[in-house]
Amino acid sequence: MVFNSLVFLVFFAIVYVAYRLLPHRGQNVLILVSSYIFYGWWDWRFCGLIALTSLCSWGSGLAIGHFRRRGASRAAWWSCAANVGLNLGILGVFKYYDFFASSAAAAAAALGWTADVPLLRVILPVGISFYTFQALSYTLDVHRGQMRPTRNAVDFCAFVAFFPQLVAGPIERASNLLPQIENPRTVTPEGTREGIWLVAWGLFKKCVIADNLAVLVDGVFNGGGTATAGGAACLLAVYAFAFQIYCDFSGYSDIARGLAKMMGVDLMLNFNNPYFALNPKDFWARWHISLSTWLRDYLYIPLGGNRRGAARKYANLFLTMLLGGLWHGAAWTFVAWGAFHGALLVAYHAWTSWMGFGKGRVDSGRCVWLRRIAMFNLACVGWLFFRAETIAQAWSMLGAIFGRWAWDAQAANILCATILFAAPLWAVQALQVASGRLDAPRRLSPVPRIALWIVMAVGFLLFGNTGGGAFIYFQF
Amino acid sequence: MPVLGILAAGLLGDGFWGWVDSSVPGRWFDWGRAFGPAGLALGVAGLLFAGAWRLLVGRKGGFAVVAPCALAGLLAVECAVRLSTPQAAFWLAVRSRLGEQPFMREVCYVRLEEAAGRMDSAPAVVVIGSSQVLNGVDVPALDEALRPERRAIRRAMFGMTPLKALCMRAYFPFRPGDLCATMLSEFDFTNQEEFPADWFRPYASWRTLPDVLSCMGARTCRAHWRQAVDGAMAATWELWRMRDGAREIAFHAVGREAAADAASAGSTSASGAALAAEKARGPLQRAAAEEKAFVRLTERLQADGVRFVVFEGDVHPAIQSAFRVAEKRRIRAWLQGFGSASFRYVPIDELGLSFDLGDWKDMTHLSSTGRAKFTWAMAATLQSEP
Repeated sequence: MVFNSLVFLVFFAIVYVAYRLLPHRGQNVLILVSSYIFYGWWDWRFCGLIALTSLCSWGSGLAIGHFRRRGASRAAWWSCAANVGLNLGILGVFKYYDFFASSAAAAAAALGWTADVPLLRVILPVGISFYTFQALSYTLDVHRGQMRPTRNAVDFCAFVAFFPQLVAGPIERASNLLPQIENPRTVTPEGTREGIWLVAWGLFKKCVIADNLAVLVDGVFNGGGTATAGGAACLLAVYAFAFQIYCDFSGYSDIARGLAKMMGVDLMLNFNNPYFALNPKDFWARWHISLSTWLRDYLYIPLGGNRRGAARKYANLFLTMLLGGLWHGAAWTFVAWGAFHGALLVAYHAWTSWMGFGKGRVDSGRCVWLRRIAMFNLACVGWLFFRAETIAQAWSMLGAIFGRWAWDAQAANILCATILFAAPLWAVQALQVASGRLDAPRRLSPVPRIALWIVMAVGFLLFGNTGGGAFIYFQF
Repeated sequence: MPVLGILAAGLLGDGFWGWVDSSVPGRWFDWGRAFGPAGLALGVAGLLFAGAWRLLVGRKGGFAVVAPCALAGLLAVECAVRLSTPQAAFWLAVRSRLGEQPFMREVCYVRLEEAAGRMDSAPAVVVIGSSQVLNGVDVPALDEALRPERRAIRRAMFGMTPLKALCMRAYFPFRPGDLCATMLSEFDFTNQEEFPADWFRPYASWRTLPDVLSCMGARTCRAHWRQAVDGAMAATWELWRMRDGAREIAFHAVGREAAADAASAGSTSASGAALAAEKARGPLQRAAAEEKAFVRLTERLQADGVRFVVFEGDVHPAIQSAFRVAEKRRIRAWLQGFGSASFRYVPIDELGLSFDLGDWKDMTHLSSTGRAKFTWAMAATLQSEP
């Protein structure tokens, strides 16, 4: 069941009406049941796995709390480690086993050895990366003493499976979402209006912008299109993909936040106009914020962060981004993307350190737009690897852009279509950046607000993808 | 804003129509239009818009103001796109960007004809049907033969079965006293696609959709409820009916790429043709929905004061299997038994035609010689109609 489908519309209408009529505890049971129905709609077998993750994490939290009260810190540590190991083990088996097994077999073959490595060929459960990290954040926060374990299994399972953000985030922290589940919620008219706007804007970004840009991008990246596309078409396809993936992913996040808002729940912001970032560090403070902060708090900082000298800091940064790339999928293109961003971050930190920023010297803040354009293009280089089917294809496209430049009808069509579909996005983003407020479109005076709604409605009717296309991040 | 209006008027001349037609215009900017009545009108519109913007900036306007105004604006856009000039510009722009897409090309033809309207006051023969009719009837020659008493108007479409004709009925420019002529073979009553939403979408209307859905039956509609909703949206909104064409314009704004044409053009090998022939000889799956649709179409045409003349269609002798011959006899008996004063069935024997092998282009479509034979026979029959 995807958000951009009639089935979900009917599902949410029923759930929402029941939600508004039920008391708090009934609402939590409804959240749990409806979330499992939502998740089971993909494949009922997935429900067993998420239930296992949820119950083990809940039990682990209780065990950690119990051992900490008794002063048995070692036992608490083992409880935490066991749960982390179990969850990462499940994630590893379902998501990474076949990848590493086939890569090992390929490496052995390259060295002249024969390695008959069995493959599992299991279906990747939708959203496993998201809810695994979400459940792990609870266990780790309880172990660190940053939150108390919850005794209510229904509340905890509802927190892990909360359907608006279950399959593609935001990866919620237990400290943010779990108290909202445990405590009575208030649905306000303003919250409902904000929720409706977020859902509408998110659907527009997904169904009108992202799904139509996907047609252009697929025409170049898929099925040998790279071999025939000229340099200009390749470059413009990468730019189109940058907007496609942003609208696809941020659209989902907006819909998730909007649905949650309508239920009186505040989910964390996941995107903050990332293509207006000034540098790599700023980019990761704006793109997939829930993942970047999770990696910072549970990987980078435990590895030592920046507390053990510059070399260790750069190594930690690079490793964190490398694993962040691998989190996205079991393919070398994602690893390359992560490594690229790791290298960018290391280079940026090295440069700021060399320039003495933060040690009495302040960034002049000049050439803001030049920096934004440069950072956008650097991000697009990463997207090229992210989207390419193979590393070889990515290099081939780079070769076409820099060595086989040709302006043709395909490039012109990609440019015109990208401008057509992305123009509303750019208008809204310009408004948000100029005003410094993400809710700027809702604060417009009536005429431009009316014009925006008309553009969205006409866009839906003319170009909205009604095929219920899956969101890109579902595959992660 | 007024300046933008004047500039827009200048561009909405040769420049705009050149882009519509994917051709290079004589001039991109028409100064005469920019500073003429069109420029004045658009400039005033821009001034009014800017005035409204300034008046309302800072004013608060919640859901109670924004929602109805946005809805009114959407309805205004919907009404504007239904006007004949925007329709003509749109479908011309789609047609010039289609490449090898015969179905969409025919949709553009029908929509452009509909936008132009029926000029002639003489009664007409509206020729409907599938590719068998497109290949088998030379409509300009038929028109020549029937003048001055009648004109011939083509509304045949690739893949048009009775169910699709029922859906498309709102685009048949009938007037009382007209004739509707078609060619039907046993193939037209078989199930090619259970719910052809893509075919229905450009033509759906509330005048015809209820008939189509009732012929398909509740079970089919439930099984294909998404397509039924798609049909309902298309029946309601012209913007929805335009969406397939809008995507063609959006993705080929400056014209079709040559590589895309090469990729979409099909090629038929000798072995492929033999396979197709073998499949065509095989049993055909009867579709009750098509037979119901044919009956409903006949009733609607009668109610509109239109006489329906159905010519028996034929196929290449090579695929005249025992099954097809039996099915042909069944359809013929059924159509001959139609008890309707405004319906006439013309079996192929009655036309005095015999097609030889050279009259066939392929297994189901007539060649140019076969088309000429059939067209003259059809004209002679229609001339005898009241």
